[in-house]
Amino acid sequence: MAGAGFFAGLANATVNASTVLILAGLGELISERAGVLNLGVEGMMLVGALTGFITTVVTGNYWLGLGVAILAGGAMSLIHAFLCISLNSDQAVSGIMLTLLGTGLTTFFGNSYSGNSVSGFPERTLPLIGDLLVEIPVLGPALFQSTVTDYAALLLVPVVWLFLYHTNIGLELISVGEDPETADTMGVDVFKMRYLAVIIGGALAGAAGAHLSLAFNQIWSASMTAGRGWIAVALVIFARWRPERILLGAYLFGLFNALQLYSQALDFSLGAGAPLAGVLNPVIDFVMNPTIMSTYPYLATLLVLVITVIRAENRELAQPSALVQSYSRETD
Amino acid sequence: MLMSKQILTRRDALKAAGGTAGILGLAGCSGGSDGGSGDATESSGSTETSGSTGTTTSSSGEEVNAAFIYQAEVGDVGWDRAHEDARQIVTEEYDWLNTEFSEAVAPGDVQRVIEQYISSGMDVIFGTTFGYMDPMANMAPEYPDTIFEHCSGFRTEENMGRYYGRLYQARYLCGVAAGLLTETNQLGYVAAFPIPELIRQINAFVEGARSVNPDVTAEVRWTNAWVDPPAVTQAVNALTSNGADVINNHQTTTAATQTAAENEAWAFTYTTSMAEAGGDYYGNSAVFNWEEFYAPTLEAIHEGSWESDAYWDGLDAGVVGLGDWGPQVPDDVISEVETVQEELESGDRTVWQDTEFEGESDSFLFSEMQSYVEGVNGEVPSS
Amino acid sequence: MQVDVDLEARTDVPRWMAYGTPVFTVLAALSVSAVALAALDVDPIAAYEIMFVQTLTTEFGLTETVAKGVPLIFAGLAVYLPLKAQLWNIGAEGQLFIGAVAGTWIGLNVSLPILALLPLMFLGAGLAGALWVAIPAWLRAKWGINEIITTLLFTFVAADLKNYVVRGPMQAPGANFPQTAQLPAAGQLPVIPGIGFPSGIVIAVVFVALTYLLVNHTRLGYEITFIGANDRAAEQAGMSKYRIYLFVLMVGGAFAGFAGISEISGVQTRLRAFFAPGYGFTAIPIALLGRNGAFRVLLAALFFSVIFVGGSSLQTLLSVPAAIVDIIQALIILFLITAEFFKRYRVSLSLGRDLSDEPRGTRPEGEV
Repeated sequence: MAGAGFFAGLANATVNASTVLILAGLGELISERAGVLNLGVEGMMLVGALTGFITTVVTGNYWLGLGVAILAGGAMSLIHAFLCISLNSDQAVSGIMLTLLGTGLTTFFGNSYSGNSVSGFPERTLPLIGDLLVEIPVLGPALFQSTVTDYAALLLVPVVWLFLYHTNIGLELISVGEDPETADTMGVDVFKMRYLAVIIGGALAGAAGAHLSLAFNQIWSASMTAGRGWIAVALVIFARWRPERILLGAYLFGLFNALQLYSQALDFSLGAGAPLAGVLNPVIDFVMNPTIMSTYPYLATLLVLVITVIRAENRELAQPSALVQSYSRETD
Repeated sequence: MLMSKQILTRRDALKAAGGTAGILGLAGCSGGSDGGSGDATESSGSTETSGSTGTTTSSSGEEVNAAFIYQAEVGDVGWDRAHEDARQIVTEEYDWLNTEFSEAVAPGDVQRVIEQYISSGMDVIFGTTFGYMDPMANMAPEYPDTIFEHCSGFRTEENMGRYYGRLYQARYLCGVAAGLLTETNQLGYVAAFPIPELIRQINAFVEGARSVNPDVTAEVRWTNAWVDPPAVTQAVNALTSNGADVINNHQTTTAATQTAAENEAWAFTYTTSMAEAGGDYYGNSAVFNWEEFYAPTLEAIHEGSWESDAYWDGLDAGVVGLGDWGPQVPDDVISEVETVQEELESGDRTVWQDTEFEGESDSFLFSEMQSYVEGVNGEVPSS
Repeated sequence: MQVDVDLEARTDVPRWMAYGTPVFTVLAALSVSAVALAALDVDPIAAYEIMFVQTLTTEFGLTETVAKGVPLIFAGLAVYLPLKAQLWNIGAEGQLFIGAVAGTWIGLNVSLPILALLPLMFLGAGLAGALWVAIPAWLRAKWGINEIITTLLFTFVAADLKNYVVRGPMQAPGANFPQTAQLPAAGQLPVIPGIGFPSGIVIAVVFVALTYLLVNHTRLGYEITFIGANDRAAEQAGMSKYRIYLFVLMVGGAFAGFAGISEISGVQTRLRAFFAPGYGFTAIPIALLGRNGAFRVLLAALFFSVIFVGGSSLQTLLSVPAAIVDIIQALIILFLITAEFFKRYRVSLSLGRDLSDEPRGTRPEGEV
């Protein structure tokens, strides 16, 4: 039963499930590296998904749709930036409010669009070598027969890595998340840097939403993100705030997601004669239960947290030191 | 709070709830001396002020005020849409009828909403989701002048009826079409949660297909969410890559229909038409025509002849049926389905004949069907 | 020439501001919402009359407000107490689920008279809620891992676990749609004879009073507040951050568990698979609004209760779409957190003064 076709399907489903997590996760990572936690990812993704969808329905141009989604996500995050950076509001409260607002607005304004379809980003192979790459067994079609947004997400991983660790702006951004006072002393504009990071984060969340409504599903459905924004928040922790690990984590979470569907074709239970079958089969049933499986990304994240803090000598979590701390200059 | 709906699945419950149903009392145990009622009478002494005003049982010639309460926001597809469409049809139809509706009402809040409707003069309350059953059954004895109609549950009272439709019969018809259309003899079915309501519809679909094509087998993917378009798309991809060339859907989104069409598989669905999403690969939809229940019920209320009952009708009453066929479905398939539909309506054929469920009671069909018929691969998940 | 915004942390919030800000905030949010309502052809004045005046002046409205307020008060306390130590219990909703599951299980499986069963259900729910937050609390206390994120992660796990047990081990036989059996009469919170208010409000008020006494009149409460204001100084003074953090989060978890069982026992009478009232999240703005005292948490919870009850009246009486009510609620929170800023900082605009040559930054103590 579990032949090459099965694994090719599983690989494809894993890669498919990971794109939205990579995009939203990288965005959240950039924001958090500058010290700003944004729990509004789910709301910003929904706003991106809907605005991108409506734009595409109206203009017929999915590129324009993607652009509008990115702008809408960025605009939405601007509220968060203003509240948290300029007004020193609580980041957790502001983010949750953003999700609330995004969900309410999209449910209301998206109502007459649910059920519409749109012709969005088609699946393409890469130019020149693409047709060859697709021939690679199992992973070929999964990776190289994709939409532009899938490729863009993959490409963004090294881009964000380069940006954060090998550009001045990136290093300044990180320094703002680690120690804003020192960064300020060194002449870094803490406020500007944090605004930048939050807006990039919102833009990427908007893009993640547009990927769902314009590339992956090509429909609008209220709350179609179905909690993926929160998984993206977990993913950043799972990746311990490193962009390259976002990719790894997104694939792992994508695999959990795909397994929920693909494992249904398989029977994992032990035969009646097998030793301990009576004890183990209920355990296997529980572990493979799709509802239980949907907790795995969160449990994996917690496990990473616990293992990291217990093992590391210096309790180095890699969490930006100034995460969730607002910053203000005392001017007098 | 709205967010909870998203991340913590209040919304998951939405359409769902209605689509599923309880047990017992199918025979209509009216005049209930239900254990819960006594407590409820006591527990809502505070509400009496609102109860007594403006409520009169309609008799012939008077206007009828009807309130409809939905658990989800009414979107363009799905369970609540079907009720809302029917509400609009009957409101249009009768000049003596006024209707109101509330959406996104959680079961924990429905009592308050009903009390408000009653105090604003509503004569009849239609509650369209399973979770409203207890609150409605508890309130009915306190408000004897108001008529309660609850969809998809099993409790009735002297002034509270229960109604539901045998959608599985329409699924059977879709199955007949699917059995004729499939070339690979493999069907795929994307479903939300493994509960009897959904299992019954899956079984009926597969039975329909096997009645015209005994070689057909089917595979089911459970998504464990009522609305999760990305998961649905993944599930359809899994099914078509396994060889399924007809897909049926039980999630409140057009994602399954859309993805099936993209993968060049016939797409069937339920509750409302999703023809646009299916394009040339659209088959049909097993739909509720709730106006076939609401119209006679409201007329009976208007005439003062309404009585509580447990309504569970199907194709013959028209409360369930098929929508419009997709543009590419061959005529001979359509005519074959129409023949089968006539046989089902006349009773010459039943959905469960020659299956392990033949002769089972309505109560069993309604709430105890927990296994697949022959031809469906695998087993129903344990929970 | 450039415009500079000077911020100065207020050392002392003026009295008029402490009381005026919430009022002003709500008015501002309602003004913005009025535009949305007007756009839908709904008269905002009539809408607000229904939403507030009718809710607060009719027996029906008051009873419903109190009933809805009970779980909100408990949930508000669940966030308020940790906030006193500057910790955010964002995952109260998850603790609420686990409390509801544990309390319902006891109610269905233990046979006792009402005066023994109800306390036992609350005890079980509280214990379950406290244990559910124990790991995040320990991670925070011992290792400094941000509790915002961990409590939130545990909420998602709790939601799935709750759905699993209600659709599996705890599902009532014959209930096609997944739900537990109905709690016996002895497991249901009765109404107060004569007044008609749900008795849960009495328990809630008692715990508000206890929380007030704890925070304001005990050594422990003093330590909690001290650590919240300045954890370093507190540790130098010999206070145990570890102990306090564990305490406030776990007691907060217990309150959230109470919120869960009070809703099941007082309103729903059985647990349904997709039970997710969102009170644990509403609790966050409630605690923010009531952060200055347990009794203000009570008032804030009742305020949100009015919004919920009045909001659904808008739907039934004026046919306002459900999403609008949610948007009004989000706006109130939005304005609320904006106003918090003005309460904490004195803002002055100045022209032409360049401050960049005197960069001195400090993190304001006790900011959240």
